[in-house]
Amino acid sequence: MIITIMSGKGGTGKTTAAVNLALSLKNVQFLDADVEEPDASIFLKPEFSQQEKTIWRNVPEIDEEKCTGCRKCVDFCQYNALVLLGERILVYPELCGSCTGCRIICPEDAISDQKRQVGTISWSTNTESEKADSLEFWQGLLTIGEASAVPLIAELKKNISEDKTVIIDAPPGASCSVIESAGGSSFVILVTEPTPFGLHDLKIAVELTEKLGIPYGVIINRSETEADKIIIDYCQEQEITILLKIPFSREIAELYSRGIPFVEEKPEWQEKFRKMAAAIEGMTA
Amino acid sequence: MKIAVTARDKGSTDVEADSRFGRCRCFAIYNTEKEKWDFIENRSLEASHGAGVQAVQTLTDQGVSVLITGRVGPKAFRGLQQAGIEIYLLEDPGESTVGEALAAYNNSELSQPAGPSSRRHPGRR
Amino acid sequence: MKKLAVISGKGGTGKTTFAANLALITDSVMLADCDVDAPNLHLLLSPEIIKSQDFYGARLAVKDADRCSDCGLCRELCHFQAIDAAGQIMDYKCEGCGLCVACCPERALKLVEHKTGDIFFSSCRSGSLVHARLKIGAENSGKLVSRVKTEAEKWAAEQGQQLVIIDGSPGVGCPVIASLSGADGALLISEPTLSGISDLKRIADLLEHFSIPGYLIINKHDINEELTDYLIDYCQERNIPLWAKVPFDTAVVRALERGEPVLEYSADSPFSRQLKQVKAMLEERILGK
Repeated sequence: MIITIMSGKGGTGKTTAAVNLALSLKNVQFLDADVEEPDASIFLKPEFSQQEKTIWRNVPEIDEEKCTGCRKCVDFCQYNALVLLGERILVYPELCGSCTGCRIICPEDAISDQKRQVGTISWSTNTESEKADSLEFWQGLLTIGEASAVPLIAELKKNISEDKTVIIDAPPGASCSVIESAGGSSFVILVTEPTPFGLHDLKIAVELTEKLGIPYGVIINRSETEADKIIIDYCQEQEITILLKIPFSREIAELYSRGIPFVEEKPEWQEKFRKMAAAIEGMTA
Repeated sequence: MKIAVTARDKGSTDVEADSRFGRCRCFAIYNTEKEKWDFIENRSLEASHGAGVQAVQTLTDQGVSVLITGRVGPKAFRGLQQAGIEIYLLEDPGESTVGEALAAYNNSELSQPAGPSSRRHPGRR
Repeated sequence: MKKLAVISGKGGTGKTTFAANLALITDSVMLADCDVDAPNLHLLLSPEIIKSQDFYGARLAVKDADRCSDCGLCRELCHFQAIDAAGQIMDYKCEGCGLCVACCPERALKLVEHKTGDIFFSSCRSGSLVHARLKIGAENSGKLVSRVKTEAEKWAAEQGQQLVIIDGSPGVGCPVIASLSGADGALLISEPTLSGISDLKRIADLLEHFSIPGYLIINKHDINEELTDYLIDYCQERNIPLWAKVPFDTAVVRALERGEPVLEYSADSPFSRQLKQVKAMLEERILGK
């Protein structure tokens, strides 16, 4: 089973939900797909011990002997990655979209591929967290200057083990990176907060998940009886299951600030997360 | 020769100089031989990426050999160097008009940068 | 006219709440909501839309079925697998690179501007608001952010306003850079958590890169006083002075739940008091009063 955790709005508790769920289940593979700023490792504390691989993409290399300065590649490039200076082409690999188009259309066959680093993927089969029961941790880290996280997230997901319970911590928002993270999942958990901001952005996340055609449910973070009504009403109206409510608690906030997943201090919550996981399995059967 | 000044608007040399290169509104280009000003809108203004790079292409295509502006990012700086376009920086672009910027250049009041306006690329450290 | 960006790095630290409440107590102010993926300012300010504009943010390949000979070359060449077995172009995968357009033997393809969002010009409780909404999954939010800012500045100049407050995008990527570009100052809304601090450091890099003065505001400082002290010291070393420290204030939460500005809900809460202090600093340091 592959569960992606996302939230339309940043800061609602996506990573909180993801790491605490991961620490409550057995045989988990955790993927931090927020490759621009992965922070799940703050909470799960993996030991990477040199397990890292580099991910590459192709950018153009111009053979100056063959190049006639015809400018076809400059005029073609939609990414503004090529500039003609006199008779020479200057390449900006950081802007290149790796579409391979310039290489294909060059009439002199003067363009070839060269590698450029997209990012790194690191993983660990050990974590320092006491509550982790055989937790496998993967994270992607996007290289400085790279505009798109999508290729790196795609590479990260190639490491998914079908025989484990896979939890994917998606980037915040509703961009193509989120779509890439969630695509192919069995279930999506949408994390929200009981405020008009939370509701507004939850609707955006619901729209996105509906487009992906994946079953989903909601976790209300910073839940309070009165405040929750705004989310409960919406979910009832749309027939969306509310899977779990994590209470508005100063203690949980303080633990979070110190990088401590709250199930470590409140082990009774592991049972609640387990029950939620069982319910999710029921919904995806 | 042609000298380009990044400008906030077009039409006259009384408009304020723009501190940005890649995303300035216009280029005010002075032709020293013809003693004439030309204003070109910057088509790179709304480019999502590579505005500075595209702006370098614009200047090269126009045959500009000197650029007067407030700041130049690393990609544009690289391009301008390769293109052989000399860069002169305005201390306080918001306080100069395009005409005043050119005068400052002619009076040798402007300095040339050793590198791009900032050493680090924005984004991840 | 001065421009003040309100940014945070990490989402959920209170950027929008601060921007909205600050605008409500400042005269002659234009608000620009540059969080185009998930705009929230309008939820606090009950805007009335005066005008809206289509935003064309992507150029994607479009096929003229009459000219297409089904040769399949486009599908073969497409690096992004954006053309399916039936020869249809999948919008959400197409990057608009133009390769299929350049190679199609029948000239059946071309790049066409696609509408990817809307821009709104509204009047609201604090004055005027320019905001936008990007279509789900659309790219190029940086471009829309730039447009929102440009339009806000233009409209503010027309109305002779003294200040534009920009509610910035979360994160540290292109949309944030677009939010910050050309600003006279940036309010850095932070929280004393390990996740928040790591994002804040990158924002500090960005501010330095663009030579924009930053001013620190710490929200919920009392959930971790040790990290709060660390944040203040760190920012001091980077020339980002502390402008306000707001404790965990339930009034903010209550007001948020009701969709009300905090000052209206509780004029005397800690948040409200700190807000007035920020306004005073703003008037002195940026507006030069």
